[in-house]
Order: sequence, then structure tokens, then C-alpha cells
Amino acid sequence: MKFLISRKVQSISNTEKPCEEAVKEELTPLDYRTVETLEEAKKKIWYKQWYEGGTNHREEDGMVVCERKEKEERWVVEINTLEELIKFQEKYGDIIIRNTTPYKETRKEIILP
Amino acid sequence: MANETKRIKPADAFGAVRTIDRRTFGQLIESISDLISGTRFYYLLLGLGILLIYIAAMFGVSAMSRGYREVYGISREIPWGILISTYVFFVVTSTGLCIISSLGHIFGVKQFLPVGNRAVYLAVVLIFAGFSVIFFDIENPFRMAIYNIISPNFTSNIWWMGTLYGAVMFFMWLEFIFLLLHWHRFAIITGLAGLIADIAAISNLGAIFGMLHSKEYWFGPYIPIYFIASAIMSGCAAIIIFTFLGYKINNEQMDRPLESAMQSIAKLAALMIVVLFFFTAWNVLTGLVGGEGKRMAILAMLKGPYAINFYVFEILIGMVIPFVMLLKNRFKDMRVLFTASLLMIVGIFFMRYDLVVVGQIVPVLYELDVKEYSGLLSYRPSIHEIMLCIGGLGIVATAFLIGEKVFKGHKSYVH
Repeated sequence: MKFLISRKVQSISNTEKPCEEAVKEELTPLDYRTVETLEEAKKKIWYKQWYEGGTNHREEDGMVVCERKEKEERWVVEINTLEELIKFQEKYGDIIIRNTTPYKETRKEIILP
Repeated sequence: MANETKRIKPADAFGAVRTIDRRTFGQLIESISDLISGTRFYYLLLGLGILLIYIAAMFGVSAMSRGYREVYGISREIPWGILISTYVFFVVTSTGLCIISSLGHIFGVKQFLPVGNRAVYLAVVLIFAGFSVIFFDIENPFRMAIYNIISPNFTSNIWWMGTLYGAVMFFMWLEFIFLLLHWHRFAIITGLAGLIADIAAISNLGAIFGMLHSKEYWFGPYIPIYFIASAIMSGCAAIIIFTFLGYKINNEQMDRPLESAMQSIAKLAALMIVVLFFFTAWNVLTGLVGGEGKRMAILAMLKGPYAINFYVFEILIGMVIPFVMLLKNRFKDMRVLFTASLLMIVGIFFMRYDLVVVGQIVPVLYELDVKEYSGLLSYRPSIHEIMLCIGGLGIVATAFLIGEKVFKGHKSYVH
């Protein structure tokens, strides 16, 4: 499973790897909007921009969502088992796992101290 | 914003300018063209904001042609009225926003990054709104701008105020532009310069009041420090309000990093409420045992004509209710955060008004037992003054609405 990886304190100009396991990947952001149907979405101020900026527009979990055409480059680590996660935590200390901005590829993030 | 967009490495300024990614400008032009694709409700709100600015401008022109003394509620004894307090309200909130944005952009605290771009944009907008309001309080604003440069008075706090806030606006604009262009290193440098200028400006603004010997209520080191503390509180409240509204306008779902940022900001706001509560309590307590002038001013707030402003707006609406709401909700529900922030902002507006006006209601000659000045002076804002303040709010609302559309919800480019 892929996790975004970052540090608690980071400079906006810093492009350094957060950890040695991190690799840079292009991810597809998911753009959720809090209306229930695509029909309803058509009446909204953001519709044109949202529609043209994404693909695979659909209704999901009581919202509408699309996959943004513009990809984002992010640092990612791949951890597939609980053992790997524990090993990772032992190496880096008090890590935080939380939900992140949703991507097609992952919705979880690990924050290193 | 995707990283497909080519990043600029600003090794040399000229080279960087030559290689500015044309797509960034393309995106901006696209965003501006998006502005004409809104819904009726959006245009209704935008139209309302522009209408408010127009009406306020007409009141401003009327005030200029008829004379400020004629149409404003101010007098020789109380020369600073609601226009000054509204100016203070806007610029102090702007400083708060600058501080909030700097936590992420400059000091690298990841938690605050998601609100950074919106905070920088709003900081510029609020300073501009503040300048617009004070423009109609100064008799010759253009002359002020000219002599600020050709004949500076370095011993004048007002000169420093104009200069420092001018610098703040300049640096903050640059920071915002650099953020849009992904010139992050330049954004950090200009952001830091803006932050330093802003802290100096707000501290100096407090000193304008604090260095007035003749006004006991203001005199002393209290206000410059109080302004910095209350700026953080108002900045927190403002960014929560505008982020919440921005997401409502765009029907976007707040993701976890943003929610977490909002919760951290709300916690900071709660802390600042406590700090401000102590400031207020000790200001009252020391005032009551101080000189007669200060005591009279404090009593005017405690049991005089400003008691409602003080108890209801400053204490209850501005501090107690939001604090209880935030704690009771444990900073979880965004709607509660929004409501508490809205109450805070209303309370803070009255705090600024009371600070400015109550400081002047005790006559300068009161302690000398001059008969004409044996009681408190009174001030009531005129319709011209009120409309100009509403015009300032109109500027903020209009710029906010345009910003949400043009800058596509101020998404943070850095995660």
C-alpha cells in the first residue's frame, strides 16, 4: 500500500527526500464536491472549471467526484505489511498516520517527526 | 496545482523572468475568464459587494465635498472615530493573517500550510480595505503620500505607520505572486520581509496610541503588545471564516489536512482569547487604581455609556461565548468553528471601536477641573462614517469572492 510521506516541519522551497525509502511519484488528485448528483453539479458556479479540469466524473458516497487531469508529484513510500510498518516506525520514531488529500492511488499519509 | 507546471529555479533573476512558465500566466488568464462563468447567486453576491463599494464611495465623495467636520460625528475633542477604529480592525486582522500564513510558509510548520495562500491573499485585501477606509478620514491623503517620501519625519509614528504598512502591502503582494509562480525561495524571502514589516507596523500602530501622553487611557506599553496578541486572535478567526465560506462557495469537501489546520488554528484562537482576557482584566484593574483620567475611561466601560459594548460585545460575544463553544465542541465541528469565529470577529470590531473612542472621551483638561470639561465627551458615528466602514467590508467581500474564483479556492501548492 502506498503512503504519502512528509515531515512535520518542512520548507516550501525544500524538495529533499523526507526519508531514504521515499520515491517521487505522479499522483492523480480526486476532486470531490459536496453535491449529490452530476445534474445538481451543473447548476454550480464551479461546474465548468471542475468538469474541464477532470476525467471520469461520477457520483460516489453522496458526492460527485472526478480525477484531476493535472497530476501532482509527491513523495511516496510503499508499505505492504504490518511488520514493515512497525519496522518503519522503529526506524523513524513517533510517526503519524492520517488521511490526506484524496488521490486515486492513496488516501493515507505518514508524517515523520 | 499540478507539478506538471514547470518549476522555476531562480538562480538568476533575469534568467528566471525570461523562463517564467507561460502556463502559469495561461492558467491565470483562464481563471479570469472563468470569472464570467459563475452562477446567478455568485453574481448576486458579487454585485452586492460592488454596490456596497459604490454607495460607500458616493458617501465618501459627499463627505469630501461637504467637509468632514460637517458630515462626520468627530469633533476637535474626539478627532478619531469609527473610521480609525475600522482601519485598525482591518490592518490588525491583516497582521494576524500574515502571522498565520508565515507559520506554514516561512517557519515550515506543515500543519498550517493548507491555509497559507488564502491567508496571504486576504492579508493584502484587508490592508487595502483598511487604507480605503482611512483614506476618507485624512483630509489630504495624496499630500500625505507625497510628503511621506519627500519630507519624511522619522520621529513621527504616523510616518512609520504609512511607510511600514506600505512595505507590508508591497512584500505581501510579491509573496503572493511568487507563490502563484512557484518561486518558493523568493516567496519565503518576501514573506519573511513582509512579516517583519508587519510586526513592526502593528507594534508601531499600537505606539501611536501608547505614546500619547495626553490620553491616559492609551499611554504606556500596553497597546503595542496587546495589538500583536489580538492580531493573532483576529487572524485566526478571519482565516477560519473565509476558508469555511470558500469551501461552501465551491461545494468542496475539506480534506483531513485542511480540517486539521482549521482545528489547530481554532486552538490557537482559544489560547489567544485567554491571553486577551488577561490583558483586558489587568487593563481594567490597573486602570481603576490609576490616574483619574484613566479611571474615568474605565468606569465609562464598566458602568457608563460603553458598558453594553464592553460586556455584551467585547466580553460575551468576543471572548466568552466563542471560547465556551470551541471547548465544548473540542474543536471538531467546522460549523461551530465558523460560528465561534464570526462571533469573535464581531467582538473584536467592538474592541477596536471602544479602544479608539473610549480613549478620547475623558477631556484633556478634566483633571484641572475646567468647568466646560467636567463630564465625559460623547461621540456617535454619522451615516457617512458608517457607510464608509460598510464600504470597507464590501471591498473585502468582493475581493474574497473574486479571489475564490480566480485563484481556484487558493489551493496550497505545497503539501
